[in-house]
Amino acid sequence: MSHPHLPKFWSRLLQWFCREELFEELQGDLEEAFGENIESFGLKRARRIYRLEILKLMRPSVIKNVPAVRISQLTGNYLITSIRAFKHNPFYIGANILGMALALSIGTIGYFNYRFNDTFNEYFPEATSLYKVNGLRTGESTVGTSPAALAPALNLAGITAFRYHDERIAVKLENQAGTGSGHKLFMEGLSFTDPGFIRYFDLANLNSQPLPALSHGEVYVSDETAMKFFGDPYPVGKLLTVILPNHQERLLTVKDVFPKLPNNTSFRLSIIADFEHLSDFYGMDENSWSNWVDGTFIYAPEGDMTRAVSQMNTYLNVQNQANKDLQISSYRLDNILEWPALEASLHNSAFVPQMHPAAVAGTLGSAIGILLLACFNFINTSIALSGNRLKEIAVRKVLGGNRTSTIAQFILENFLMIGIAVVIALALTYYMIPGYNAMMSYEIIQPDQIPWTTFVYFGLVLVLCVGLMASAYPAFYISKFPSLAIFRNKVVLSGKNRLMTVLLTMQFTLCFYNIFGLLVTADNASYQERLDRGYDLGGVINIPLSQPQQYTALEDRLKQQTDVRQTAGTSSLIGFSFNNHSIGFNGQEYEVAELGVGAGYLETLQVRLINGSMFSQSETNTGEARKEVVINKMLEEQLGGDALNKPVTFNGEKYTVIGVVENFNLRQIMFDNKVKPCMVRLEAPSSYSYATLKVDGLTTDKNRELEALWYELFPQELYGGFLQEDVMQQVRQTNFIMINISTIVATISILISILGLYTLISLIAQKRKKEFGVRKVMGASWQQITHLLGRDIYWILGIAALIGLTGGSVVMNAVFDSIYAYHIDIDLLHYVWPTMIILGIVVSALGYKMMQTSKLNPVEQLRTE
Amino acid sequence: MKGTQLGELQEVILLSILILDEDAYGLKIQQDISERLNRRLSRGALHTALTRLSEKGFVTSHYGGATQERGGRRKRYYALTVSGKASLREMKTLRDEMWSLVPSTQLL
Repeated sequence: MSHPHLPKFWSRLLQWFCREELFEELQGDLEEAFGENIESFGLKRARRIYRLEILKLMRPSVIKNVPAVRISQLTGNYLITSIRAFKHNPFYIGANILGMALALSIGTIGYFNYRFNDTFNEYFPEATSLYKVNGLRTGESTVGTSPAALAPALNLAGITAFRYHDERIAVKLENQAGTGSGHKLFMEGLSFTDPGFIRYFDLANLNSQPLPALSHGEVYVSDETAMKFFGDPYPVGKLLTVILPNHQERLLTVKDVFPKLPNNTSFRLSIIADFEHLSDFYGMDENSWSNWVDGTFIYAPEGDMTRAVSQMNTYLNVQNQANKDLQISSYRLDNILEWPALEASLHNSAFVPQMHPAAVAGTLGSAIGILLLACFNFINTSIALSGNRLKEIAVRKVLGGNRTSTIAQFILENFLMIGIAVVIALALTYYMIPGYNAMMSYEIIQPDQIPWTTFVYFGLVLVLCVGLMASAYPAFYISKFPSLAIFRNKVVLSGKNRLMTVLLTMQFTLCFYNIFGLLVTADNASYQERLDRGYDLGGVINIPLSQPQQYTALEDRLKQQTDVRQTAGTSSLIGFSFNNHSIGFNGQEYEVAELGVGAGYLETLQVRLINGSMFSQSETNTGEARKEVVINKMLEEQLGGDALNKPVTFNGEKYTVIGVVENFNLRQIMFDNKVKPCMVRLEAPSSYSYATLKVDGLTTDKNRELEALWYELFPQELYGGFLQEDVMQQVRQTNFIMINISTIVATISILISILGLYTLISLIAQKRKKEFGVRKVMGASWQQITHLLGRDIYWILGIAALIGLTGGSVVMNAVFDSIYAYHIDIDLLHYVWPTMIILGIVVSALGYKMMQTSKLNPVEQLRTE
Repeated sequence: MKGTQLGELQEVILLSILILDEDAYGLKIQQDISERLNRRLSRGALHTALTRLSEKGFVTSHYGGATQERGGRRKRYYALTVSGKASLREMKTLRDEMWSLVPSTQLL
């Protein structure tokens, strides 16, 4: 029984290269040393020593049966021959290496992108024993939040429950070191945690020591936040002030600093305080069943979750009693390694989700596609180039070289080229990572978070896979020809080579597919920009209020500004917030999306009225709030088409339907956010939480002006104004990423394919030199010769277009369906454009070469030998 | 086979085997030398030296007990042959002789 923590790959490596008679002794010694090293240095260092020892065992007296001397002598000769071969064809070889390097760097990025998602939350050493509590709602959805009282109520042996809650809070910092008076304001996330969170998620300080316990008024800050707040990486003992929603202030002391977590974890921890502060800061009763926290986590090393779940389910009654509007039918536990994939679909959950699977698969798919393409091209070029070296091979054979040595020669040459390509690719990747991160808008690839062993393994695997794939076939294929046939010029290695044609077709299939993908994505992006959302996004700005009265003060001042066309107060925002509710109509229940808005809000957003009227004013003449609703067309249809001026019941009260409006989007048009049946309820000014204004020619300057006005009115409050257009942000971002990736992928694939085609044409031209010469002497025109040269290419392009475009439309449709609620339909024009583009590029890139060949003087062609 | 000269490392290894006596197997020799010379000796380097020594006929070896810590693999114990001991002694005599010839003033 081997040591459980022994690096398996390395012990297998040893077994592989080590002589059998030595293995038992050496492996035994190393393993025994490994066990002792764990005791004295810890697991990490013990593993490192073990790996080093094995590397140092790679010496001739240990390595199996390999004729060590012969290898080192021969390699030298192989190398010389390789370099000579490179010198003969610098252009083709250079292009080949460059294409491969580009493909490899895209592959590397695709892999790290995949790895980011794949190792989500693996940063936490105890991840396999940590679970998050989620609640199944009556209905189908799952809620991510849980009652504050749940964790303290759990008391099972071997199980620890703890809570986590996050709030955005204003942080005030007095200016340090006499740099003028005043203070700086920040909006920052403050995480309230039970001690168990720190302990079981293994949060440590900068020296990897456990964080000291927090008492009241103390916080930890991340190293990043420390720099941002204090410009000091270790501000222990320094003070910061938080401003609570009721405008009171609290002074907090920095107790210790922790390193910022990697981005592929569920938490963005910036400031951590003990959980008890929640009741002080927000007046929340931390043992109440009706107060909800962001997350309850469970640490259960035994892995037996059924007991925990059944105990939690005994509290269902208490919890459902306390929360009439949020009934839960049962609790469930999700391991923190699986939870990030669910996160995006959870209700009321604000943790960091995993990337959408389409984003990972898209990048990885493109990367693998490009790598395949580069490999095909590599194989093609290798075969084409070695056609010129047939005589060399024949001479080698005649002089006593065997087939193995010829194969070794070719494989070495190709591995050498791929080795160079990998080095270039690493440099390229290094420059591409910041661009990629900027495109994804947060750091997906954090080189400092990736252990160096991963780089080494990945590089080795890449070189081996790509090297074998790209070099094995040409090596075996070319080395097999008998020397006699070569000398007699009997070997035909022409452009008719079946494999080369198939590979080129595959390359161009990928080209068509990529260009098609790019065009469709770009077209879809402009379609989604133009898409009628049922309201007008342009020129609208929303300003969050901390108190409803602020609206009146703001409105008074805004009235004086001529370019502010309209203002309205509201508590829900179209595009950002709504509630799911049931309403009663004619004795039946309907599920609707419900919004509460102030009078004038719908007009500000230019929602279009179909029937009836909009809200005129919020109060009746006697000062009561009007019980009025406006519904959208979809809801009207559900209610039977005739709901105007009829009553609906909502929360046990009667409301009158006073108007019907066109359907409008309640959210961004991502995923399945299609238009829903919707009811808009008139809200009294006492519950406004946003001021919404429509401004003529809205610019960033205007936003700054509004911000200045805000600070003039409410100097202690943070301005949070944002554009209605932000609702487009995720769609724009996704489209932007897709277009960027498709552009890079399409460009590279076209480049590589053209190179391949160029090589093929040159080869055909060379092989059929005499034939063309004779044809010309007999009177063939250059057009006819060009046609003969291009005949194979027409077929290649035709078949590639057919497969590439069909595949492309199936894949792109599926991708759009999974990402967007609304997207373009693919039509004929989408097929025509890529075809034209590729034909154009092929003609302009190869036309000259083909014409040049066709126009050669036949005498020159025939005189060669 | 290279001559019967002893390299510095080989000499130290032979001495270490003698010191460890019954317990002279790979890992123990490696640790003993690393500790005494205060420099890390890799298992690979030790292996090469031991191979040379057995090629010269200075050491013999036999397999011994397997233990749990070794994943059930046996140890290979090393012992000096008569010629190994002779060569060590020869080395010592040579050195002693040379030491005795060094004028004491040179040692300050």
